[in-house]
Amino acid sequence: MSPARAAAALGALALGACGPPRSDPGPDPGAWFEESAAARGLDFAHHSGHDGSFWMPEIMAGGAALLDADGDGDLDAYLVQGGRLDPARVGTSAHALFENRGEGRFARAAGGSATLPGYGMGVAVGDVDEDGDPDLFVTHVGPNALLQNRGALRLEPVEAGLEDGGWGTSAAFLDAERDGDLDLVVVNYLDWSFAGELPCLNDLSQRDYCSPKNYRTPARSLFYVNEGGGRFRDASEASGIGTKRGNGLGVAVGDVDANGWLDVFVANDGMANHLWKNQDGQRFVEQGLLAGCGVDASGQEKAGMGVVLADLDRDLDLDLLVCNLAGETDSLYLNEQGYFVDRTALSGLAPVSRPFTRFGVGLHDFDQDGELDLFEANGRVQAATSPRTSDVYAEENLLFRGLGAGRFTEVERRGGVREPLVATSRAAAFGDVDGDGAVDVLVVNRDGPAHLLLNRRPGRGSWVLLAVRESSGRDALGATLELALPSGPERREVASASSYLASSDPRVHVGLGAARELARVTVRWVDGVREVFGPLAAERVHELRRGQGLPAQD
Amino acid sequence: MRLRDLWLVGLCACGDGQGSPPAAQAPAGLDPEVEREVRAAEEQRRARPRDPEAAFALAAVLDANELDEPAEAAWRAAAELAPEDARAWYHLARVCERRGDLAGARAALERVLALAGDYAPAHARLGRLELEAGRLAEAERALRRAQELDPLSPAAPMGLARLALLRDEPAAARALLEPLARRLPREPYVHGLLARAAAMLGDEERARAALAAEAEAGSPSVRDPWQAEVQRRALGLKVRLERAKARLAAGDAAGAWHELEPLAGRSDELAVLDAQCEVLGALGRHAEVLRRIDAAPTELRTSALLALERALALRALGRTAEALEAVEAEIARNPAHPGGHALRGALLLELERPEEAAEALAAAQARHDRSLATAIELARARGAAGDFEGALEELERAAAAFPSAPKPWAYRSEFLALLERPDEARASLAEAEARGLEPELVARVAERLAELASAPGAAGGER
Repeated sequence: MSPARAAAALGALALGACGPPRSDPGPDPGAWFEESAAARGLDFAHHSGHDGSFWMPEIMAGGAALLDADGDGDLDAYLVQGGRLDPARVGTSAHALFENRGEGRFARAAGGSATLPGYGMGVAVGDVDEDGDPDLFVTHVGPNALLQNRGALRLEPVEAGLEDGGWGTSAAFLDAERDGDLDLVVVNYLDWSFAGELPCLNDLSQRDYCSPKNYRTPARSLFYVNEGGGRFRDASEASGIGTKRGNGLGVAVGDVDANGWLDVFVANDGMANHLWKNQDGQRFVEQGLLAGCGVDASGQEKAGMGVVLADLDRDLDLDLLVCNLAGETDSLYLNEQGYFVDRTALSGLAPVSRPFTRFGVGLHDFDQDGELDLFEANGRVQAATSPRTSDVYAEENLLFRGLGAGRFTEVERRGGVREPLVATSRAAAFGDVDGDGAVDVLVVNRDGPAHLLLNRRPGRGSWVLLAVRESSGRDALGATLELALPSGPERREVASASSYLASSDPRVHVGLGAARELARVTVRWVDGVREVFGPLAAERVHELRRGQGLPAQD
Repeated sequence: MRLRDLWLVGLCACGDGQGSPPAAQAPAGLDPEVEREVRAAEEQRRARPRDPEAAFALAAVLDANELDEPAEAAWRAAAELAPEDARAWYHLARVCERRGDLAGARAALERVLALAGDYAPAHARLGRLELEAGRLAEAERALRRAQELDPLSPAAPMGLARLALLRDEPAAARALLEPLARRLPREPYVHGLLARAAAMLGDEERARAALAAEAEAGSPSVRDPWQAEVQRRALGLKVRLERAKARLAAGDAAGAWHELEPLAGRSDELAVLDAQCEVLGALGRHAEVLRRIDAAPTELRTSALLALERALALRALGRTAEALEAVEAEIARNPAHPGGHALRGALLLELERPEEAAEALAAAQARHDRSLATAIELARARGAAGDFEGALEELERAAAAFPSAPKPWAYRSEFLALLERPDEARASLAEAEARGLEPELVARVAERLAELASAPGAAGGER
């Protein structure tokens, strides 16, 4: 019997030994989500390629994007495959694009499902050529790839100067220079190679995956400037971003110090996180430790994985939530004039999050009551001593209801589903897949089928969905919205990159509670120009296109 | 009796332990040493079902080996058999906390404090739990009691400092932390907390200094004898390897070898062979290291770990050129690993090729080798190449990165003397001495400074 199966047997025994018999679950009004991947045609299964060798990338992989690839107004899905790690030859990964044929019913789109060299990790989405449709950047262990969207669900790999042979993880498009086109930041995890793999042991003294700290080979992140004409220039060293190494996994982008330039936060695994503050579009300075978000309230470097920026305390700046390893709590940093104060202990997240290894993460108003809720996709990186399924890395996901002011409470049903979904989850991407106005979740699971969690929360409030776009029609990534809500002003970002290895719908979803309209939205475009839109009726998608609002009055 | 049955008894200790567990196939995969120990403890438990000590022993071995789910059940059983034994409740609290059941942990700690209200670690643990749950008044009460009971433990003042930071009282946090940082300069997280307090107070310079000190911190000092009593029961391959490495780091190579002896039959596992070679190297048995590695199967022999161990053994045997060849072959296979570059640099320095050595050591640093040893080797290489100013720069960087380390100051004093800056050289040596440089080294450097002072024009001379 394999160690994994042995541990599973022990766990099953332990669970079954003293508990009461389980009865059939009845209707459950407490569930927020319904897992519907197979029923909706999203038949993607991730393969890590694990064959007993414990190559480190196998345990970290599984990316996903929700994007409107064909411009028909609904969200298609792109899923990043792992592949097979073989020291003898360079592997390939067969990634998959699924077309949303309406109301969240999917079919595989052959033209977008390419096999690419390398072992697949994550994906970022942005319209790099300003042609109005989103392009994709896929990270690998091995060469990363830019996939140009040719329309009609065809994605074509193109040479753009973005090829890097390292271990890319999360990536984000951003207009760092404020020149109107999208630059790119790519996070790398380790300078890993087959030759440098190590024989690590887990708590049962069995061979297992290593901690990144065992390798002592943190990697540098990359920054590419969009030169136009489909070409990028590697500005990693010149910008500063490539000058400091880290075990980078998650990335989020936003103007955290309110200087008008987009900053980059990188969650590092087992090392201090990096906050790259954008000085002038050309230079970034790393200030994570000095800004209070490098380490936690105890001064401890945690294993940062997924990350998200959002205004949680409604003071119109960006707060930060970082997911970490089992044994470490989430880290919730509230932004107080550019300094991040660790408020995890007051958030309600610490006791619940600590036992889990959290990767994908999103702050969305799933119940549309006006407060951001929190979803976390979980899965271990070393075998559990008492596993719950035959997958010794599998864990349940977590769902918290937002109480406002950076406080949360776990919903009654773990993960928000009727029966717990126990899997080794990695990326989580967010967006309204079935067009009912509520945010759904796409989760990639290592060596298992992806989960599509359709939002079925009863008694949801009303909503608006804001497609914020530049004049060219591309999503205005990095633009900031100030919403005039009945409960007071609130800030939201136009962002697709956050979570872990994922890209979400950049449209801004706003829960309105009982309100029937959103009175006013002030958009601050990336170049600092401000426009006002509204009032906007509830229960609708609104496009806020640059130039079509009213100039904002200071 | 099969292991699964044994565990079933442990889990169902809520009953009387007399019933026959259902037949089940014994699972494999546990470390044999752990399995033996669990089996023995369970047999004792079965033989003496009403004996609290037997219940305690079984729980302890499960707990120490992080078999958390059965450990929790076993501690519950032990606590039921001896409800007046605060230790069982305390360990139950620890395991509940590890499993994320903070309510269970808090309830168990309340039992502990009712039975042994003077056990400081229980108050400190409760304080930490309350803090994490956002119950600040309760946290403060528990932490203050812990501090009263054990004024020397860092846990309580650190918890109180965290509390102060949560209350936006960075000055109060700093007042707690500064004396602690002076008293325990190697305690982890103290400097990190201090950096946070200083940054909140706008004192960026102090924050930077504290962050530099945090980077040098060691392992946390744990003043919890009950926990230590259980942790001594940890067994198995991983634990043995960790203990061996810890003993090696403490300079006890013989003790490390003793720790590895039960693993003699497992030399075909890379982790075991690597540890054996490392310890044998520290014992000066380099020829044996080479023999073991050369006899290992190809897939082990070609691992990066053993390739570097082999190069180190060759070096120790005076076969430096062969060692260099071996390490260069390894770098060709695995260029990202800084360890290969650092070792190559050291070998090149020994072979009196200082320019190449400096290049190799800089390559190690570019790949995130932040060690003091590499920084000093790089300074030595630059100095040996005649670049004394470059050497000084390296040492000053090392002194800033390792503010409590004496060696950068000692080497710096020598290079300053070579540059005919004797006053600065003496001052630098005094800094090294203040940081604890061993007296014999101080005397040797002072002697060297005197030699250099009596040989004018030494800056251009041979080193």
